[in-house]
Amino acid sequence: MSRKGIGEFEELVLLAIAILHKEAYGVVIKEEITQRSGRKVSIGALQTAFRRMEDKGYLKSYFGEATAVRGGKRKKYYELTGHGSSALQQVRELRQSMWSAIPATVLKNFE
Amino acid sequence: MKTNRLPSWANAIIRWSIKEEYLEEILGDLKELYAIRKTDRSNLYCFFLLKVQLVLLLRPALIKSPAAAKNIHIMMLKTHFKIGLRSLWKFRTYTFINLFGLSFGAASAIILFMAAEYEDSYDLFLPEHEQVFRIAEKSPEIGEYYQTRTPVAPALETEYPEIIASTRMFNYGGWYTYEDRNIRSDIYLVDEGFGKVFQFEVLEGNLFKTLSEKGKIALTSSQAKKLFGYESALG
Repeated sequence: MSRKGIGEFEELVLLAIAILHKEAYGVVIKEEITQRSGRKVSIGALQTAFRRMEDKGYLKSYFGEATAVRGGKRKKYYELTGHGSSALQQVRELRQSMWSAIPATVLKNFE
Repeated sequence: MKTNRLPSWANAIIRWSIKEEYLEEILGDLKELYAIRKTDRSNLYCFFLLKVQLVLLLRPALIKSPAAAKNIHIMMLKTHFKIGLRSLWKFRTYTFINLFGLSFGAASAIILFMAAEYEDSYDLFLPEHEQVFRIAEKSPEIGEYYQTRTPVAPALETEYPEIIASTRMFNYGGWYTYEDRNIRSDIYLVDEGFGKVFQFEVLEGNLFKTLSEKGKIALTSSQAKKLFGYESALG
């Protein structure tokens, strides 16, 4: 499991976790992504993304408190690792450098 | 404190299919999601959404490995295969010699069987193909020789009562001209016994009458189609 780079969905998940900071667990991350991007995310899709990014070392997780609404199950909180945030940063830098490389005449058409 | 529950069937399916280590998190998430959805949706619709979530949970990363993967005998077999492959690679030269020898032998055997089957497959469409034989000559100078002298067939037929019919064939194939076309054909000059030895199905005309007269020709159906298309080949 040493595939490099971040997929598009993985990027959304990482960003949502970064936004939620210390409050990021399954359902909340799902809601965050749905609210901001308008796309429906299944728990299965989210879980596979978590597993994959834990393997890559982008994420770490720990169990939090149990609640009644979760039927006595504990929440599992996710957090970016240093590796995860630098990977996210790299994606951003790549995007920005490519955006700034677009000639001004082409960029005008985008508006 | 009233704890939130999933329908029991959903609980059972998840416990049965999902890996133990993710169970707590996934069950908790599903219950929370279910509770949120129940506040403003009908029960039936919530069930449907839950079922969708369950189907989408069936991913290789999340589901338990099949029972076979945990079976110790299968694990042992896998190890044996691995060790076998490694030792094959360790003794590369011998592996190559043995593998090459075996595949060469197997290939030769297959080809020989196919050749034998091909030799056995001649003229099987004839109704009495087991009774049809080809006469050959054998002489010390040239070995086996599949052309015999003209009088051999009639002589054999008169001297051996077991022979019901005989025919002589002479290959006269080559290029022929029909109207403005050049056509390559296998043509045999035969005698009137041909129809009795090779009991072909006749589509048009009379084979025996054709064979007993001079200057007549019998065509196979593919040859007739080539020459005349779908029109009658007679006349």
